[in-house]
Amino acid sequence: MNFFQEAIEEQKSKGPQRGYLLIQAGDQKFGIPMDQVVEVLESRRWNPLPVRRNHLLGVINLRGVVFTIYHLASLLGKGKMSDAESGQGCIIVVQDGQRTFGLWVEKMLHVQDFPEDELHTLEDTQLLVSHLCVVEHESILMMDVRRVA
Amino acid sequence: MNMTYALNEKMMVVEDDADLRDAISESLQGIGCEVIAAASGEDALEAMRQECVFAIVSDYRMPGINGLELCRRVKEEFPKVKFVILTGYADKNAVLEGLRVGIDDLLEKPQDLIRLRDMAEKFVSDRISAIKKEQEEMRLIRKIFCDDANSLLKDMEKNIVRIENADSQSEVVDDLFRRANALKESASAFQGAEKICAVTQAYENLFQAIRSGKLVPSQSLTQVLLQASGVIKILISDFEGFKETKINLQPFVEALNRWTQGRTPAAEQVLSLTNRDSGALQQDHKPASGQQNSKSGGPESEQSAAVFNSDDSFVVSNEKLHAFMDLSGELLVLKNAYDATMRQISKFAVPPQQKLVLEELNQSLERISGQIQSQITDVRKVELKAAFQKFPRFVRQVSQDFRKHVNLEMNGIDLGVDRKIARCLSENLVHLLRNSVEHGIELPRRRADTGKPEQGKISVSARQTDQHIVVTVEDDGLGIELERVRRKAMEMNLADKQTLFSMNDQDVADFVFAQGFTTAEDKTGGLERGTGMSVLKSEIVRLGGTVKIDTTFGLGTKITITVPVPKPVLIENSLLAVSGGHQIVIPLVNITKIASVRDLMLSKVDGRMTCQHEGMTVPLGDYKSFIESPLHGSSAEKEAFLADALVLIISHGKHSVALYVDRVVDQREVVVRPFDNVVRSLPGFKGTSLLDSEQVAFVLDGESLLNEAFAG
Repeated sequence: MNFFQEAIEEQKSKGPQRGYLLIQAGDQKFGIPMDQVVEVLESRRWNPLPVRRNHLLGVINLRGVVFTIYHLASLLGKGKMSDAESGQGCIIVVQDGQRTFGLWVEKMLHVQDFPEDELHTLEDTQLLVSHLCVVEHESILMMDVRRVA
Repeated sequence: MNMTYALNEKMMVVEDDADLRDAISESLQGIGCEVIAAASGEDALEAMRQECVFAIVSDYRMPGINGLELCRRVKEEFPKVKFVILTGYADKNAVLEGLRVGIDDLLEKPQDLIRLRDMAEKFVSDRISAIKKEQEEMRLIRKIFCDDANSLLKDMEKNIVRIENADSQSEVVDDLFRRANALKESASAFQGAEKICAVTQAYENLFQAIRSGKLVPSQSLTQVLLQASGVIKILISDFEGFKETKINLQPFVEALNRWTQGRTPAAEQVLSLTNRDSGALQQDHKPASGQQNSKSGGPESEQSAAVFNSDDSFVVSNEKLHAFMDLSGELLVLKNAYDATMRQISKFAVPPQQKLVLEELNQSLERISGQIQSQITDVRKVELKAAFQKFPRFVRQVSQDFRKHVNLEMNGIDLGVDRKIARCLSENLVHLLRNSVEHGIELPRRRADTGKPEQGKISVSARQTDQHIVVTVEDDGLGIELERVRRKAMEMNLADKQTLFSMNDQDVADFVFAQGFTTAEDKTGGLERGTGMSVLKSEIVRLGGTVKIDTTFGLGTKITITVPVPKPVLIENSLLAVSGGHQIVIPLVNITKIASVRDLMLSKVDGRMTCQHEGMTVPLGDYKSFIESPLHGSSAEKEAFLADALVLIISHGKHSVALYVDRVVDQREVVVRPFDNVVRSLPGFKGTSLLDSEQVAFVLDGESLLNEAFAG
């Protein structure tokens, strides 16, 4: 069995996987479904909203498309809006059906696949997170982008 | 023996002398219509109510009602009937006096009897031509009505499928109710559309029940609504084709009414009624017109965006047209970006020849983008004439129903307006016209008693100013008794007694636009008169327009509708300014004056900075101070105004504010994009505008800013 076949076999043995982009917000790791991530913008400034709105930083013009940026940690109750004034961090552009919006995060970690049978569904549909996965004694909360409104 | 005649209406001879009556009747045989006879004026009036008579030949001197009085009574009830008097020489002068009551001709007995036959034949041929013309006109008007109705139903179906998730007070339900009401009102103007009226009335009642929360949307209800829409489409198709719909709608209407009353039969029960009765019909019914390319007629049937219509024209869907408009807006953004880049470049040393080429390119781009804007605006335009074509017929019909004499005048109907506006006016002005005829114009005798001409007048006029389309509907009828409006408003708890009696007449008259408001004592013909005016107002407001009423009791009423001319894309000639670190765009249309702080007379009133503008004290502050600290709340405005900074006086309606900005950057045309579906709306702003490849400015909305400032 060559390397390529081994990789396929290994993949098969793992069962169906789901990819997430992991980010850190406060003391918690969160996952954003990779199939909804369009691109990541680093060191990019936005145009702040002239009237303050909870969790919204401003709007950005990306190649002629104007969309809104959320402060993700504030949305998840893990940070303050003023964190974004540091000039650090990056914007994750996500697509949910017809909606495009950005999620500003202070720290992006990496992309990781998770076996579907290890993703535990959370019952509370009011939360922005829909699944929980425990990896090496650490819990990671997976976001449901549709619930961001 | 049954005879067939070219004209299916009758001519009547009225003569008390039996021999002469027979002789005249005999002389009129073979003119192309049946001739009937009456021995007296009284018999003639009785016969008029039984038979379809289009012309009368009457003796002058008769026992009882004489020819002149008969003519007066006939013309009052049947103004279109031709009336000829036969008289002996001695009575001629008297009858000439009576010509003013509407006699069409006067013939002398017995020498004019040959002329009488020629005249009768001409009456017949004129009547046949008039009927043909009427039929042609009717066919055209029916087609317009049917096209409008099908389009309404198509729009409704799109919302019906959303109704299950909609709140009873939502725009979706409101929109469905409004459209069902418009459909019913339009149908009520047509003779022969009684079946459509009956079903649309039941249909409207269903939406009213949903709107009032009595009926909760469900999957079954959605099915019933869609099926009802299908049945109405069949009725409309038959109506357009002058076909009798041979289905008994009574059980179907009753089932819909049971739903309205909350006694919801199983949906299948209603559906089975429509399937049984209309199912077979459905197979025979082809789509009513080219615009209906669907087989099911459902919302999912919009398969092709453009339908091939004829050799040189296409029917293009609104979606495509909107996409085209958006693209033209993008082109303008590019043109502006190019403009800005040109200005940047001009600061550097560019060879004169290259500079010239760039400038020419810029001019071409400006010219072409301007032409595209203008072409798109024209594509969406239709002449008001087409939208108003049904009004004369409508007014004629309603006038007949209420036995009134009304002359409808229409001016300025060659004006081309946006399709959306034309449609809105076409659907909603029928409410005004019906009100004018039914409640405004008095009965002929009452008008005569008050010194007015027996025939009332309704004028519909349209004109366009720079920014607006203004349509007026004016009648010389009774006007509105404002005391009665005050009493009714009090009964309906629309305002308390003290407020009502301190209000000016204009504000009191505005109550007629309140939902459910009517001063009429009875409700006839199943028409909810209280709905029409509020529907009209909300439809016009939805287009960004206003409705104003001027009324004088005894003299008449004038309704003025003002609608802004829509722009293909929202382009605003604006100032770009910086305020509190934000780039904001202020449309010039909102700015009444620009001044520097040092030129203003500043003062503090109730702890708030103000300045003088045209003799008025106007609050001064930056946009945040107006949005976050409205004038009636606590004042936390910026006090350290820079003397060099500019102040823009923003006005709307009766209010003004002096808007302080840190600096003005530029004046330019900007394309306004509505906020995306995350922000949706921001108080005081109406959208964003791209400045260059990265920067976004926020576009101020003068009206919204003043609403925020003066809130509470």
